[in-house]
Amino acid sequence: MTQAAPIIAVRDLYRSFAEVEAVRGISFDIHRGEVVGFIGANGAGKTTTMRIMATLEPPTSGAVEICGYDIMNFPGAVRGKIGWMPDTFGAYPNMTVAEYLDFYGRAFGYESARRGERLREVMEFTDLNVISERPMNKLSKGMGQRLCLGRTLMHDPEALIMDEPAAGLDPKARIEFKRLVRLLAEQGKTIFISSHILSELGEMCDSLIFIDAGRVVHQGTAAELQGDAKGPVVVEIRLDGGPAKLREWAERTPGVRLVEMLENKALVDLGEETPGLVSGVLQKMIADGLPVSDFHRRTRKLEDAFVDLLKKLEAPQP
Amino acid sequence: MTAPADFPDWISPMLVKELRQGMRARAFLISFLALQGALILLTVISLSNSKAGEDTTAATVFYWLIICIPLLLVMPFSGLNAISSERKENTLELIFLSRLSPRRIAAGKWLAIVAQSALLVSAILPYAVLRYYMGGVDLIANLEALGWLLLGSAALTSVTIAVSSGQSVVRRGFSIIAFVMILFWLFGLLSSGAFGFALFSSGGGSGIPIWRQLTACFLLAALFLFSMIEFAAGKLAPDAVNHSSSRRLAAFAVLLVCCCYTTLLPGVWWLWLGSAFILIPTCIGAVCEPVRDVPSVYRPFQRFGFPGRVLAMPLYPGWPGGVLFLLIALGVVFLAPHGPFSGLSGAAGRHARLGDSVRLRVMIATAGSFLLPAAVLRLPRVRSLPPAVFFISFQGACGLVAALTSSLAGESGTDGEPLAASIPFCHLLMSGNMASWPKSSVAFSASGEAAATAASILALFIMMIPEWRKIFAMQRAFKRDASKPV
Repeated sequence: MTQAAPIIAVRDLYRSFAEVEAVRGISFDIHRGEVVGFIGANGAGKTTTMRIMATLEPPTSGAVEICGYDIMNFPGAVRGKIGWMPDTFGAYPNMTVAEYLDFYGRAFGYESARRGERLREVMEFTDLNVISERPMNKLSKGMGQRLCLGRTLMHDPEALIMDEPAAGLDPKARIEFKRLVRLLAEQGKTIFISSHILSELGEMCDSLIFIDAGRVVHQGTAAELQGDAKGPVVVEIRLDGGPAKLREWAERTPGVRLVEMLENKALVDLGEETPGLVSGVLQKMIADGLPVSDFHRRTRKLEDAFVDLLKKLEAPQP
Repeated sequence: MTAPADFPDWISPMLVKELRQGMRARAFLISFLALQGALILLTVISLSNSKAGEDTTAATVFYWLIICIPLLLVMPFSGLNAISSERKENTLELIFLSRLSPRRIAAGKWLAIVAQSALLVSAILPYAVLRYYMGGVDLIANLEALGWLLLGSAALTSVTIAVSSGQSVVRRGFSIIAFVMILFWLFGLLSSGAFGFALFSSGGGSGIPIWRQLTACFLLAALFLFSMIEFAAGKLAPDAVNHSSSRRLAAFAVLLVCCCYTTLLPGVWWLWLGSAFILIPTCIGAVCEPVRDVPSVYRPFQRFGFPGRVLAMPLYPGWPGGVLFLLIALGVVFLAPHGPFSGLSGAAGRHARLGDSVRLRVMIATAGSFLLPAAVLRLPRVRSLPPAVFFISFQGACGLVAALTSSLAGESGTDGEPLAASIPFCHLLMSGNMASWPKSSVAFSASGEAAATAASILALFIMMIPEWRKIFAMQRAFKRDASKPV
């Protein structure tokens, strides 16, 4: 089976500002309906890459194709296919939410009837109906981001490029935003999203691209990253009647080290991963008569995995 | 939920947005209400004065003053932040990613302010009619004056919109001051000194049917507006969009209009004066513009083939094309049969010396005034300075040198004037006083400015060779990339 052509194809992208090379040979593909997270520290080249993809900056070299259109040769066609959501945008004074969306509807060439229909769809999706007559400079950060998303969706783009859209949102607005992103992906939109909050991207995205100093350092799923950056296997165990019995068991069992005892659970280090290690330990616990009520492997935080990955890259090569 | 239906679909989206915002803005509301209040007050006072048989001149002066303030100050200057505020709020690129081109964005902003100004004028009309009924007022002349005021307001608004694309407040203020200074300088230069007998002795537009003069005036005004809108659009467009070529084409159109009209109707000399407001900023912009490293801006020139590309070289964005454009524009201005230089005395014969020919000296000084700063601007350390600011500062410094040396020569009899007049722009400014100079001093300064101008042309041509190579290499690479799949 042949794979469909990618919606976003980035090839060997470079961008320099005077002496500074902000982007150094980035390449990746994103397919229809995928949600891909773009992660990197400040100044790593995330925003520059995204701005190039959105036709707002020219690349020094390399190529980007969106829905088959090259951004340099057909910027107008690319703009019709993408929705760009920047990290911040200013509110217009003396303009309501509905008027703001109506302006973009007009700017994208929708005629009155179709514009009204599109306005209704977008407002329903982003839940802006209740505030449609509110002046846009009186909106909260969360409402503002929903309005920005609404504007981004006004011309029904195929690919969404979002630069830190959840920055500054409260937890409730973040959860809501995550839900909207997943809904859009289900509708077949291709989403490329950057954020500093790794765990959030891990939950929201199908795959992640990590960049450092303008280069891609890792590309894959969150689970792959956590697996790639190898470390000791840590399991979280709960016993009926409290974890006290576990201390004694751990002391007499070779290869098992008690890391932390909490009120109703304990963390146990099983050492380096080997085939059958975790299941073997569980079998032994049951065989030794421990009343295990919960036993699960503790996944490493995405942040820790990323930091380990960077350390590994920075370490001098033998 | 239906789309807001306050404006029909055929009105430009940008105009709709700007009108929605502008009509609710404090500047417009205060202007509108204050104007109405002042006019009501004035009408009441005029009514009582006319009944008492008192002189109404003061009321008339006040009437025009309160109309001029909103039309020529408040409304045009409200455009000073039009583009910079969008840039600051990070909203400009969002608009740019829609189907609106930078030209439509700038034009929409201009048109919205002009529409508000027109609304103010329409609100004045009942009072104009009332004044007519009170007596002593020529209604048609009044309405005509209102029309001219609106046109002036529109022109001034186009300047503030063009200037508003500058990012810093200082630079925007500086540009407005520079514009006003150039305005006064041009009037001063053309009405006295070297050009005095060339233009103003030709008798103005008398004897020429008014409609012909009006046609010329509207043509020039349209080209001026287009040029200003293109200037603003060029500033807000990303590097990949070229607005320089259209500005240069507009300047060529201005030259064509001026040449045709002044040849057919030699009395409309003022067209050249008006054209200066388009030609001077376009020429300065052309020689200051850096070469862009974006191949797509050179793409449209490819379809002309090799001969077409060579002919279109003055239109290529960037200073190398700009220098060629400047030389052609100056050539047309210098050689136009009824151009600003045609009336200058002392046309050089084949064997005449440079110092003897006023016309030749002023021509060289004019060319050098553009070419010398353009050449200095290409020097490594100067290159990093903001080009337009450097250009205007350079000319300002020349003006200062000319004024200082002239006053010193007057007071102490020192002989620094010929040396200062060796700088082309100083020569141009001082050319009105040169009639009283010794012949040797005039010859010295003329040789100096000619050498400076020739050296500038030579330096610019040498420096533009690698730039043209770079541009043509980009065009070739663009051709290759366009045929290569990703």
